Amino acid sequence: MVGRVVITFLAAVLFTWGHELITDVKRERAVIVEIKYADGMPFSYEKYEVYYSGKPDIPFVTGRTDRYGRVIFIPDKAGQWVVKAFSEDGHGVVKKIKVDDGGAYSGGEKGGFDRIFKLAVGIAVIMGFFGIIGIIWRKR
Amino acid sequence: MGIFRSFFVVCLLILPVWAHQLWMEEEKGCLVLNYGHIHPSEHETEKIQYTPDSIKKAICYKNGSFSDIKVEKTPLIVKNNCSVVFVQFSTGYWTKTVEGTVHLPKHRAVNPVYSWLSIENLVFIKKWEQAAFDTRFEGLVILPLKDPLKLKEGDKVRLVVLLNGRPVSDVPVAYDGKIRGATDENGRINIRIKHPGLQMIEASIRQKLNSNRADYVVYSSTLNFEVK
Repeated sequence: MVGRVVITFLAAVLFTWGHELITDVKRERAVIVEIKYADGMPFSYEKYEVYYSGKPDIPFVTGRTDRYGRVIFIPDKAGQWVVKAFSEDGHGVVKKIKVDDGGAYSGGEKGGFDRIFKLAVGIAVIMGFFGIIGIIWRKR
Repeated sequence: MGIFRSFFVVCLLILPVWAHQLWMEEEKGCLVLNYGHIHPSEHETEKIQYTPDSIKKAICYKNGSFSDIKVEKTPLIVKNNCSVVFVQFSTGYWTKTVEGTVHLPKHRAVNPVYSWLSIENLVFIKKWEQAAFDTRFEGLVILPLKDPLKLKEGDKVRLVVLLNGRPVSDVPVAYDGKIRGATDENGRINIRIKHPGLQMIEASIRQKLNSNRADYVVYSSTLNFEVK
């Protein structure tokens, strides 16, 4: 009788462990692809697939865009990634994104970082130019 | 350093999505109405089959008068040497749901977010007859203000965008699939011709609709003509 109770208890514990999910909340570097219709409306709740170029047949991740039309994925290696998103009414996009070892990307039409970086470099060059002229002017 | 770290956490790309296009071109002396992607990329189909009931109107203008074009099968082939062809095309009601876009009006869809009715117009100009454009067209149309068939590569075509006969401002106008600008307060815009052959000029606007079937009507328009 006692033996039967112990076996039942152990089975229940093992059953619970087998079905338990462990969550781990992390902060990671992600690529976010925001997709919009030509008039600016978000391409929300539509299907997407993300492929690594070395494995074109097996998607790395599939899902639906979020409310803001975003595909969010965390590449596990450097190289070329392909994002495909489609809707039943014939809208869609296929985009190749190059991810380097540092996690930086290239390939967007309007990369937010890219624009800000270019703007910062431009301002730095202009300020540097006028700074050099100022130093020369003061030395005179 | 903190600023740069936060930028690397979020690598943001903003992408526009393509849609199906409507265009007409000459094939063996006839005009053929196509639906799909005029310049398909590697994953796109150039020509997609459509049903005759998608064509709501097909009108031919020739020698000063309009006549209806019979639509019996698709693709629509226009044989009667029209100067101008006007086509109204609609795939009906579409609803954005939390499980994607479905081909249903809003009141029949599960978990709808918003819905729209798609109405597409096409104008093909084979021969310039000014009187053809004095007519009030239903929906959105892009019309040239002068004969565009005399233009050459590098010239600009002056266009007006009309919605139900009235000029509309701030409408984005695309040439070969790329937005080139928006219409002014009189609905006008200049577009530079970048190549000979078939010209593909497109515009689209969204208007609010008070209906249980759709929240918006999406009007799209294509202007086609050939430049030698």
